[in-house]
Amino acid sequence: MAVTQLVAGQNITIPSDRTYCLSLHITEWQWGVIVSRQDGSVGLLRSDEGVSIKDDSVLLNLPDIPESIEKLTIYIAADTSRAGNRTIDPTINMSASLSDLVDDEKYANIDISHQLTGQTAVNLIEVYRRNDTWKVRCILQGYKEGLFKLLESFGFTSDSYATAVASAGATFSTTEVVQQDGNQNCGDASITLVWKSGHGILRSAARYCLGKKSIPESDLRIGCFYELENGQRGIIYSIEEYLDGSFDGVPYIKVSRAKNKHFEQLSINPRFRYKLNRCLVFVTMMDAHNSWEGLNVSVNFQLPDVSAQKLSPTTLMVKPIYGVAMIKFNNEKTEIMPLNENFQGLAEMDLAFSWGLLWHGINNSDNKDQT
Amino acid sequence: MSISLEKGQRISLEKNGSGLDRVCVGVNWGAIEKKGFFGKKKVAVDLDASIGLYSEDKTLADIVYFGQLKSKDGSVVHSGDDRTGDLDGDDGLDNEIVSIELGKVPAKVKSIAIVLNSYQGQDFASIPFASVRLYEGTPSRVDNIIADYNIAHEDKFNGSVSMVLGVLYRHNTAWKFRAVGEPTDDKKLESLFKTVAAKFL
Repeated sequence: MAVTQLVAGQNITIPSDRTYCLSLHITEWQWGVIVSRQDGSVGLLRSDEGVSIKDDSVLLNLPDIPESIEKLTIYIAADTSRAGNRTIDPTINMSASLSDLVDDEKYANIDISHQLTGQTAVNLIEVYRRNDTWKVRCILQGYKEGLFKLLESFGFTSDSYATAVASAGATFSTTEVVQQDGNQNCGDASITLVWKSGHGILRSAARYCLGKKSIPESDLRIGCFYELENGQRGIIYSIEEYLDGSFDGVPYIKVSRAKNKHFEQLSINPRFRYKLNRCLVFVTMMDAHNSWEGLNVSVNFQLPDVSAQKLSPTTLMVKPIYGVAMIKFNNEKTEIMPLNENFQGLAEMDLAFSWGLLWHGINNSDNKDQT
Repeated sequence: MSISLEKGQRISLEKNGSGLDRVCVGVNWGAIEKKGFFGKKKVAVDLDASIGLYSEDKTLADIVYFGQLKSKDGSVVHSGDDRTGDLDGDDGLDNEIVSIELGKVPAKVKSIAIVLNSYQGQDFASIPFASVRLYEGTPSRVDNIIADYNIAHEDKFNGSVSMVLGVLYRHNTAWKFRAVGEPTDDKKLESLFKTVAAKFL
């Protein structure tokens, strides 16, 4: 089969009994998948049957895609966090190709670079159902304003996609979104950590092994000590899955992080606010940097009934733990008390606030030992 | 409408001819109120909902409990350990929720037992209110309550700290649920899972 060169607006039918791979060659741009369902709902790709993401490819196993999914839209967008001094235009040599996964037969190519006209976020292709077959349409239309505009065109609100992105582990920074968000808000409760790894001095061996193109994948983590109204205490920390917390159950706070972006978030379930007493939010610096200064750390608090706050560490100390703020839930009004304190270890911070967690390595407070 | 289940009752988890993708089991309970010299005092009640996944030969393939909140295959997820129950009366919300994605449960797992035990050993009869419901939906959204039952204030629970709530099992290609609601003599989760294999599968 001849390889089709897809241009904007063109569509092709693809056999529905196979698995395809859409590979993206988009250098420094980022991308993601938006799922439209029969019931009219739209969301970012989570763990849907039949669709998976591997490196810079989307695997589409058409027979396995649930009937409820009507359309998949793959978007691409400039990575604004990497803007700055550029010598080479990042949009040259961008392309995508659609191939049959099993016999590696190419179905279509898209030359992206020559079809962009200044947009920084475009819907690249749609894969959609039409009369029991699957079709692919090349769109290549988008917005100069950036990804948030594109997502808004799908009906995402800034809150909904910030949360969706964090939990789906999608690949873009929502820095802009969080900053736009203004003061009072609408019941959404989250604490978001963003940073740039721009000017910090790499101190780890990684610098020598990975070369200059590498950007440390993630060098900060967010977490909190919590205390519930019933006295139950513990820790949530984005470093291990078992410390992720829980949104719908105790402790009603869950941490999530984007895999390829500097974005971490604690989500608090506002429905269970009455079960929370207080929590101590912290950020820890992992390997790879030696100063808080160069990281442009920003921790954004979006809590119901409190005006939004943005906190950053102001210290020259290199202690790896930044105690960000204490949040008190026990009065009618939620209070955020900024701390800006630094600690050598979590156990030291625990001691300073008399939280009383037990420390053997990092562990949950008073783990029950039953079985 | 939900069915208030009786012991031994079986229901098929089908809707419009196809099986449900996901069911949740929620447990809602309250702290014990005790009268003392200085008025009333709340005593925490630490109930623990746990899940045992059993293979055909009734061996335990995996468990989900407060110390392991997710099954190895990811199909069963526990919402987290609540160690007190509702302190200010019934809030109508589940204190612990276990969600089960039926389609993701590995083929070798033939039955899934849902059990409850009282960690501090307070017997079920002393708990002011406790109920269990099986529903369609997600932990944050109850779409349709399939079945529920009350477990407090029943004489048969006097003196007992462990019980079997029910069993989800494969019947041909579909899943069914059998309400059990039976106390056992076990004091610990480990032996409770053994009792389940011996008597309730």
